[in-house]
Amino acid sequence: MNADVFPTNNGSSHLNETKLRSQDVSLFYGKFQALRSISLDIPERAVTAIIGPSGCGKSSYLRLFNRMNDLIPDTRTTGHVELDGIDIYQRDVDVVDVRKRVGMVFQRPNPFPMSVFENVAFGPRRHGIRNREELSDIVERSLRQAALWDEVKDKLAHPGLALSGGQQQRLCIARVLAVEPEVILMDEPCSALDPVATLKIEDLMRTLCSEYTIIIVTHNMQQAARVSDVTAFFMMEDDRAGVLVEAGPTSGLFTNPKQKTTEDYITGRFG
Amino acid sequence: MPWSKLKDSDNKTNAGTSPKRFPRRSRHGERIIEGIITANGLIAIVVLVGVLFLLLRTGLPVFSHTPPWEFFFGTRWYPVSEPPTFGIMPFFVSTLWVAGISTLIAIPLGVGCAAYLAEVAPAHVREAVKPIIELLAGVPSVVMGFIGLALLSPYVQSLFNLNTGLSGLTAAIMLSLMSLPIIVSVSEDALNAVPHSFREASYALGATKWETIIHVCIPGAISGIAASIMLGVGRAIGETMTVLMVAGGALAVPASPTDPMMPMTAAIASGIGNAVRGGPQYQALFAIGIVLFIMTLFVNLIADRVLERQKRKFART
Repeated sequence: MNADVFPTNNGSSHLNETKLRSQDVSLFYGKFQALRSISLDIPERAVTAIIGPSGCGKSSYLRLFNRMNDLIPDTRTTGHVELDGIDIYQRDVDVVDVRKRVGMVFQRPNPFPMSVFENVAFGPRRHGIRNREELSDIVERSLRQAALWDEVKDKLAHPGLALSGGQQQRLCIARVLAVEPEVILMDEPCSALDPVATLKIEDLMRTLCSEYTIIIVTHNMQQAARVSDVTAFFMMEDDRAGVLVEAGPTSGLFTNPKQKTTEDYITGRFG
Repeated sequence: MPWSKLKDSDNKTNAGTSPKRFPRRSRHGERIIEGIITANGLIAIVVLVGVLFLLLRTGLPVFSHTPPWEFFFGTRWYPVSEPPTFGIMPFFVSTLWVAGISTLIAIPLGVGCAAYLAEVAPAHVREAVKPIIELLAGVPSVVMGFIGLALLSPYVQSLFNLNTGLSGLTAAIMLSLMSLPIIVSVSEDALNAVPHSFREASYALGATKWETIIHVCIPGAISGIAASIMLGVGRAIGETMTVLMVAGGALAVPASPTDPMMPMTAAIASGIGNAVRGGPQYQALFAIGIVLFIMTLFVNLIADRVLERQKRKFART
């Protein structure tokens, strides 16, 4: 059923190849079903936005792709989640490798209680880089990529938590970039930020998507419209959470939704 | 209409009485309770000051017959020879050995146990293990001494090929077990206070559980862990009965941890029964008490400071 509302891969020619694919994925927290057989292809080097009302399973869906749901006890996933065609929920897949390739930025900026430098160097250090010079290079490159270098280059030894909220969030993005992932998951990355900081992050996303595959969960439909190439709309129905209603190129979904529910939601009739 | 009506009826119910007032009632009960609570608070301070005063008044006169240099650095404690000598070096060094080694043992055990409980153990294991560890804190020290005497000392003796199993090391091992509960429970609280978002960020960067514990959780909780260690050290310094029973009670300055030794607490406890009240030995024992008091006071003050800092660290979130 989800397949015929989903035109991305066959319909629009300008979208890149599929990077991530979920096939008939369901997620259970104990007895509660948070996602209902979701099938969706995420195009490479593009921004995919996931929108929908609170509690519809957007974040749960996002956290499938780096297996963060594994950290919550008593969760169960069925179906297939593929990264470059390989099922990341297979038994022989090392979750550490998955998370190296699929980075994540969280809702609230959460820099470690360490210096700016150490925050960015955290990932590379964990993955075996000891050489101080090499680390410095990575830190500078990542901070530049995150458009933060000019603001913090004299404060590398300052605590990351001393930066402003928007800077902290870009620091978190730099921290992810330092690991050189292929995919960046963003879970409402601007919800704790002011409009100016939000714009900066959005600009950053547009720049980064030339190199990275980005998925962003957002409450803010304008944000989805501004930054994303593809939008997926999730919904809960009565007592059923985690339904994918419609997905497609952002311009099409916002101007000409195929489903009534989508239209109601994006015109602000509920949610 | 309804408004005016309401007002009318309101006036009617209050008819006869003057406009509403808040007459002051006397609350004697309240005052008495307040007084009692204040007195309780004061008692603690009075007792502390009293203890300090008593210690100083009884202990300080030791310097009238033994110069401070000889008292602190003298290696001979012969209270009954003529003339008596009171050098507390053997006791002081013993205390350092015993407290130091017990801390060295207790830190990895305690912090490891706390990290296991806070980060690794499933909820039902944590629920079961934590009360057991806290129960360990309730074991009377004389019982711990007995366990050390009967169970541990033979092992220490045969393992290190000693003349007697009663040694500083034996005492230190027992003390480390006794300071374990406080280290585990305070450290675990500190680990739990580290925001979950730090762990998530670490895992999301591809760090393993072990890396997350070592590089994120423990550094994040380090001041709480340091405080727990200080509290454990305080306990190890002040513990008397266990040490009296298993440390061996030798009067020489110990050179190795496997020597029998007599820490300061044990020296006071074993000496006070024979000392003439107000006599030179009595004064010297109280002076040891002053030194102990200052040591534990310092350790506790540092622990307090560090704990305070830990509380402020994550106040932001």
